[in-house]
Amino acid sequence: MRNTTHRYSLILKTYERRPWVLLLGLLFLICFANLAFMPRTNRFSDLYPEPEHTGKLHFVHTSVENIQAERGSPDRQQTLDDLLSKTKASSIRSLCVLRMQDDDPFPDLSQVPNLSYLKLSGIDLTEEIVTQILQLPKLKSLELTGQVLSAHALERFGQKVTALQLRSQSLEKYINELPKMSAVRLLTVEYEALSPELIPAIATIPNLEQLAFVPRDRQQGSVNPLDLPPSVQATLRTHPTLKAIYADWGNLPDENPFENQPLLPLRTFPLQYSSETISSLGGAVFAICVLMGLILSQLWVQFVVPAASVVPGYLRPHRRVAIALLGLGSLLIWLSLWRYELDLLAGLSLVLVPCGLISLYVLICMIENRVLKNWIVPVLVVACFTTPVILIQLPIGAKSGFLWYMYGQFPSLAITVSLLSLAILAFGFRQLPLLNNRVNEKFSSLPLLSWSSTQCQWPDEKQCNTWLMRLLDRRYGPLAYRSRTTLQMVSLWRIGNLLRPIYILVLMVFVMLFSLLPPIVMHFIAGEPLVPVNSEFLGGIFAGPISMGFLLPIFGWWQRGRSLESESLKPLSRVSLCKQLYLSLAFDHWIVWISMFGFLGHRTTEAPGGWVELGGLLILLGIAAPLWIIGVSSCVLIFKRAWVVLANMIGLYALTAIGIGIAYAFGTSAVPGSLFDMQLLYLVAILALVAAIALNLIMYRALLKREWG
Amino acid sequence: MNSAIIETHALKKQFDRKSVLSGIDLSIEAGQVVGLLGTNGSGKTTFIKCLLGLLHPTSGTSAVFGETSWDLSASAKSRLGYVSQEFAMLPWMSVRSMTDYTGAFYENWDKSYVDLLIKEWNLDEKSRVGTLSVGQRQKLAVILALGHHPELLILDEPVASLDPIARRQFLKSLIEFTEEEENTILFSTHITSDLERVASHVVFLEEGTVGFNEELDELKDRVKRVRISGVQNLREKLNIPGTIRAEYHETHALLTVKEFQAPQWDSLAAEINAVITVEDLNLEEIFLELSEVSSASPQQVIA
Repeated sequence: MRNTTHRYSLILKTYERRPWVLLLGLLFLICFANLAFMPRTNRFSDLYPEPEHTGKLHFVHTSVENIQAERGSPDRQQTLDDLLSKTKASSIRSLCVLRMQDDDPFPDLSQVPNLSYLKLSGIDLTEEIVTQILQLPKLKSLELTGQVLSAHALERFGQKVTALQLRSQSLEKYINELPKMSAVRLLTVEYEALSPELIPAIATIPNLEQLAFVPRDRQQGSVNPLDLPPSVQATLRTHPTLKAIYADWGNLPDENPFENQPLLPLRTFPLQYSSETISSLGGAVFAICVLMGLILSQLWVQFVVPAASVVPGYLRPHRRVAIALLGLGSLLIWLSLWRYELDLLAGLSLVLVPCGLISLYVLICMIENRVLKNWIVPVLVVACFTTPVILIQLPIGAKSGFLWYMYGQFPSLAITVSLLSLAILAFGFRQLPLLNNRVNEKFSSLPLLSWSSTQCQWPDEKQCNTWLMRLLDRRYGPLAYRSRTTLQMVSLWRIGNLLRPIYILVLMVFVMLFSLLPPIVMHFIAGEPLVPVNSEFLGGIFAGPISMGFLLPIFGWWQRGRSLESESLKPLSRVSLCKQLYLSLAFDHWIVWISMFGFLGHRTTEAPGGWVELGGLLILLGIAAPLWIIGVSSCVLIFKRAWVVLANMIGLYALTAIGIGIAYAFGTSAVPGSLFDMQLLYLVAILALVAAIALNLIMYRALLKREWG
Repeated sequence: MNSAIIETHALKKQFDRKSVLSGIDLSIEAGQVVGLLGTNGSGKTTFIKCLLGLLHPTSGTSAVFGETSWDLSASAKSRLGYVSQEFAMLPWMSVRSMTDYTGAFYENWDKSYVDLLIKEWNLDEKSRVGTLSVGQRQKLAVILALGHHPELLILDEPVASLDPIARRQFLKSLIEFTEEEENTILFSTHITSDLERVASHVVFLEEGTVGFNEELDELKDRVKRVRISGVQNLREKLNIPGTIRAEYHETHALLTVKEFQAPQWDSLAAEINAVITVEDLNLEEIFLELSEVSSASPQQVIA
């Protein structure tokens, strides 16, 4: 018994002795403390469906009043003509028109034929305006904040747009037109007081799927319940297509908003949730991923040593300790979710799913079968990169659906998901010892991460005649003495890295195509623009390559680190060696540069400040940001120990986050495209550039002092 | 004219507060084959790394080809070859790619010589470096260090994982390397029999300092084992300076001395009326005797 205790304490000490593990452990504890002990505030987030705009929402006024904006920007107000003088009409997809004077003429919307979203604020809809709106060929979403509508306007809008938001008075006035609104799938009604006849009338909209009742002038966190008599409830419940109703149901926002469900199978959602509850979900998943990373990293070290296959009974206690730590950590996170009024079963599944998925990923990594490896892995990689994109694109209903699940409305699903995750996790832990055989007998790392047969042979002169390969990769050619220019030597150093650019390029194209597939399909089916103008969407697309672009060089040079002791004795002076290594690392960040420039290229269509703004962005995103990233990545060349590299990188990126936060705090009050905005942009860009150059100089000097032995 | 290829003066190296080298003065001339001996932790690898500029000395100086080790020029580096203890290479490359890749850095890379060594040492040039056995990787590391015909070859335990045949081949290559081109070699090893075959000089490191540094033949002439058979108890009679180790059994004694001089022993034999037999020691025995001295307490050593 004493021996057993001693053995387990020794195993635990192996965790304690690795600074990398301690660092991850600390990160986990910070996440846990944040989840469990952070005082709760009364902040709430709205989450109900509204007509969604596509791309950038442009604001125009019916006339320009002679009012100077807060920071002296004359272009705070603009008419449609002003907007069209700066922006291509075909690129405008979403527009909000605000009335300034009662007698202002309504702008000619036929100049913006690609509008898919239109919001009219304070505008009385005359027959003429209604006709003009209905002539917009691509209009799908309409939001009206005025009360005055012409007769049959509602009926005609309802046969054209799929998402409509308007005041209850407008609906009540033309209640008989509601059954003819056959195109409407989403209706958001703003109300002060609802007449008893309105809701039964809304139930006659034939294809309605989502319905939201939003009280006007409501306060965050206040309760103003919607009263639905039983007969009205029955009418809504029997609607053939209606799936969800969003309203204030009288629950306090920091309580479980799904306690009463009188309309089942119709789902009733609240209009707002506690902000901490929503952020706790992401926090819990992040903490569990950190914990899983910690445990797997330690198991990797414990299982790949020869002792794992030689010492009898070696694996089991190590595995038990890992399971115990994972269990304890998961339990802590799970219990901390309790204070957010989330369902415990759903919370359990939330904790187990990341563990199960990571375990599944490790299992797939261990696959030796070439066909499986070649097909499953690319799909997984692409899935990893496109998931954020897909999540951004999720309709608000799906986010509400997830909260519906998290508040315990799907107990059977929660049990199934938990059991499935647990099964994968258990299977994963059982299979992990196989690592030992794989690594010691066949590969130098995981099968998936091992080199491919095509990478280990350098092509000879005859094979190098492939013009396509040479076009894609300038370094593709037979090896020869290259001590001529620094750039040639840089290219020689980069050849020694496992990560070959040609494969990254193919992967990148693959990711881009996969990400752009949905818009391409939508272009041919629904006539949506071929190049998406939604910056969140494009941000999601570029986030993948950018993150890949700065992670891959770090991994590549970390792997190279072992051989650099011998390689540092290549016939180069210390200065030449450091210069060439630093430049090689910088060149390996080419994906970051391309992605940044791709993003900048996209911004050309919608930068409110025009070329002046693009110039500032070019300095900030095209030069300073990649330089800063290179400076941070150079930690991998300068420091030897993994935890020191990681700690320095975390520190420098934390500094980056603080810098961005400060810039953002200053920038919130600036009007986009205004003089102040541009001045601020250039100030931030130049400061960032100076900081990035300084960081690189410091890192380079540190590299010159590095001991390679 | 100073023909020293390697020269260190009061070389010290500390890691945190632990002193590993505590003032090494050493000079190695061109054409010498120097074996670096020392127990584990005596500082051999640290010394080699300081010589090559892989570690920055805490104090003192170190020079190779007359240049400060920490700032070796490209031309100095092109004249030296190094095989590290870990012989880390790029595991994803094939043997052929690895030699071609290394060769691309050197102007005078001798591809035909490298091909010859690969063939002689039975390495499959299509095998990936990562899948080679430890011994095969060691062979490849040595080949990579020899490919550009360095004038100075520094080897940190290069034969530890080689089989006897490979060790013979390796030693043959080293002998050719020094005989044909009069190059200099510094190599640390624990296999003293190999050292005896090729080394002209031996440097013994103990506790971060040079215990001795001399020609191998001189060392072997100097350190001897002496058997004495007398007619009376010898313990009190034999208080001989320079004795490393002494064992007594009434009228018999077995001594190891580090400064053997034949006339001195002849006169001693006559004086105590004893028969003295002198035995030669091989390098391993000398190493063991000297190591025991360095690890023994002063009382155990008869001065």
